[in-house]
Amino acid sequence: MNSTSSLPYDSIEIFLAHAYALEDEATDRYDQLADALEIHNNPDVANIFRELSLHSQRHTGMVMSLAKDLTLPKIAPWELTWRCPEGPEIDCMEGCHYLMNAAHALTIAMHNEERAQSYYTMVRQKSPNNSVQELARQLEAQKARHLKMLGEWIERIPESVEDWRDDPDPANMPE
Amino acid sequence: MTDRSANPAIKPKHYKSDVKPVWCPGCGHFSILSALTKSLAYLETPKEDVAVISGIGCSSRLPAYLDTYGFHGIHGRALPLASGLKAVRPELTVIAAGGDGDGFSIGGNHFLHACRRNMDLTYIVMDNEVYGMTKGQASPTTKPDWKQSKLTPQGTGVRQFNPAAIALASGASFIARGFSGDPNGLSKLITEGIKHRGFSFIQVLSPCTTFRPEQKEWKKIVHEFDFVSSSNVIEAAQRIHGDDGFSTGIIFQAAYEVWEPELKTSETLTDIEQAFIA
Repeated sequence: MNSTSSLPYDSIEIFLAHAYALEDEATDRYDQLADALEIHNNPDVANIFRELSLHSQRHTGMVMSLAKDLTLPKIAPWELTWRCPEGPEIDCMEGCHYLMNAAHALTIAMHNEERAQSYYTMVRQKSPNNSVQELARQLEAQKARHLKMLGEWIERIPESVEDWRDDPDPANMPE
Repeated sequence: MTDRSANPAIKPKHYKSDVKPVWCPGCGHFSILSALTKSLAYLETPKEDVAVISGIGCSSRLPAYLDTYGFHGIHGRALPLASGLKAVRPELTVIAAGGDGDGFSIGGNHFLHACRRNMDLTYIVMDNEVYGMTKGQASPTTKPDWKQSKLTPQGTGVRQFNPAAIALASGASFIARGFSGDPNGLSKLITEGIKHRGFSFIQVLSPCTTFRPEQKEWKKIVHEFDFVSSSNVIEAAQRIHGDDGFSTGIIFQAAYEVWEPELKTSETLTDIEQAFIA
């Protein structure tokens, strides 16, 4: 499905088009999760996802500023060369639950951020192009800063309780 | 990769409305919404040229979450509505959407005839093998031994419906199967379905996180078809019946004649009234 002509380490334009898709999809996914948790009356976790979306939006802005003098190619979603079905920063949708708590949300965010950082590391290591390597290094460093911030955030919140799924009056009971 | 320049004005979110989905967190339908908006953005279809028509069910809420034209119709009647719209507005990209119960049970007869009529429509069925909105009853695609519903505690005992086989036998000219766990791959199938001239049917395996939590395992067993799509009905039938139901890709595509009713553009309301009187 992936075209060999769109490998992210081939050119700055192709790499930044991938980076843009990665960050933009993460923004959308966190917004989607925030909406879902808001609808399911879990405002604390909804707010966390909303804040994570804002972070991803800032990262998208950073990619856009790196690309400001370039014309990025339009790559079909199915031609993005991810190693998994979706972008590296939007894994773990299935770990979501309407009763999930802050610890769960931040654990998902940490996991996603680690995957995104690994992606940039992989590009930096594999690209023969010095400019691509340098851009990948900048984005990798940004992910490292974000991971540190998430780590500190997770330390400030209470640990997840074991019976967090218990709901005496669940909205959805098989009938 | 295309040689077109990226157009930041047309992004998938451009097609999303401000209405927040009520789907359960983790529901596969979110990814189908995402795949559809990616397809529309890729095709750069103007929002005002798209109409998404649905029936009833969790998946049939889809039109509300899109900023295109839409119609949330009645149970099982997405295809008649979509066909009527396409008949009078052939220039529109008309997409019908719904679930396995809506499409294969309540709307089962419409499905057969939409396939054979071969109007230029795309029909996306978000198949989670359960009626989710009414809290978990067996649907036509539920396997006979599923015993989690209070209505069928011993399972249905009835062999499940095979959507691709029925579509092929009924004359559909484009048949594909996708997976919500691969939204980018699904976006390709939807894009190809929209581009196909004729009735394109896309069955999407979409886990129901609430009533079928075991479907989380689908991501481990879904795989791509190991063949390219066929235009030969017999070959396609053999592939469908020899398959485990978890293969994804385009199964069948053929250039059948498309049914397009002739429009009488000069007809006025008075003309129509006279026709009834005469």
